[in-house]
Amino acid sequence: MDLASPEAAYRQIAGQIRLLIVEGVLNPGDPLPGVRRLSLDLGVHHNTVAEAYRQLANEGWIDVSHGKTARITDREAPVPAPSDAERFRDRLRHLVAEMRTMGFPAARIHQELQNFTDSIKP
Amino acid sequence: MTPAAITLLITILLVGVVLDYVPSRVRRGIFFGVTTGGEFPHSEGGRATIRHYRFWIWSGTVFAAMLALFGQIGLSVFVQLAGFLAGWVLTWKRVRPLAIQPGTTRAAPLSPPEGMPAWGFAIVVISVLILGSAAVALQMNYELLPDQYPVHWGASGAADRFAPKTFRSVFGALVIGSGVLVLLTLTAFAIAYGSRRGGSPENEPSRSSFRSVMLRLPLLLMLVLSVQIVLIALTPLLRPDTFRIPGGPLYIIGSLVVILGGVVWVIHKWSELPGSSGDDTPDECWHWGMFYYNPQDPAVMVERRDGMGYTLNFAQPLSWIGIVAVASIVATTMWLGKG
Repeated sequence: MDLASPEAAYRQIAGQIRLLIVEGVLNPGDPLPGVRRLSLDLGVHHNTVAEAYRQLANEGWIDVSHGKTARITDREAPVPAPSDAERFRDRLRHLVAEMRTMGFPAARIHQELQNFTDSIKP
Repeated sequence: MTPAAITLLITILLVGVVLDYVPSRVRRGIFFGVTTGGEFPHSEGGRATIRHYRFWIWSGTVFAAMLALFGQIGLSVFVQLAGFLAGWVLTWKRVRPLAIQPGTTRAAPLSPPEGMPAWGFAIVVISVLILGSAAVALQMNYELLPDQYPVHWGASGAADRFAPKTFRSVFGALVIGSGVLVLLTLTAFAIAYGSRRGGSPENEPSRSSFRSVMLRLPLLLMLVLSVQIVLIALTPLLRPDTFRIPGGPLYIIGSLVVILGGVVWVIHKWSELPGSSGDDTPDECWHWGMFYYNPQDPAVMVERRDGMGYTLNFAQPLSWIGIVAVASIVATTMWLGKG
């Protein structure tokens, strides 16, 4: 996480853990550190980490039953709404435009997206 | 000159050498308790800063040595300590305006802490057994012990104070040793389970190396001290005629060499670490480069800026509870051991 980023710290923490789950680094059943342990290691208030865990639990990625170690769940993916697909397509378009602005050629962008698509776990 | 004066003189000079050597060399990226980056100590400004610090250290050390020659033991220790504190604080004030901002990226492992290694548990058990064996030996030979029991030894290694044979006079050293053992064990466990593992990714190699070195120190110290304390406790039994601690002044100088050697070893380990941009804590939360007060930081223990172990975050209530707990252990031990 970046302390200087305008994005809230809890969203950054939740985003990083979500990424590790989606990329298969963290698997169902894996434990997460306790709220106080992670807040100590990151140097942030424990409420920040608790909020990140709450967000991930609301999305179904982790189980935070009271008094137990937070664990990655075997999540059942919800059915996405059509508007969600449109929203993400729009974000991808903007990302591609940003890469073109930086000078990446179309072939390189295509390659990057292809590599990324191949790495997505089913 | 008496053996006690020579011992004190050697001690003062050894401490002077270490005080000269240590603060200018520890912790890459931190210079006299201020985040300056790794290059500053090698610049002209950095060299001038070290000269300024050394002036105070050697002024204090030479003055202390002269006082020791005239037998002013307590005053000489005070003068050397005052020279060090003045040198450190004035140098910190000089470097403080040059502080650079630490990095803002933070990373932390999601794995559980490694905790106390098996050899750490073994050292705790061995130290307890060493002290316990001495207690058993004293108890079994209680009748053979002298009625006027030595309770204090001078720098020459000769007993210079006696008391009637009681539980406190016979077992006092072992009780105090047990208190020290408890404190060192708590320190080792606090480092193993309570120290911070995260921070900026570029400082990760130095951070994990720091933790590993600092965990070894209290454990090794525990082993050395238990042997030394047992040596003192058993002296009336081993040397009933002279009550001299085996080794005499060499005992004190040897102990000092072991402790100062440990400090130099830590510095040496630091010099082997890859480049570091500091310790990720904000400079404005450090007072005199020694005291850390940061209500935003949940850490109770943070790495000391001079590289010599950990200190407390005085903004955390748990730090004050820890201080009271340690003071209680020390007071109880002193009361049980010395009366």
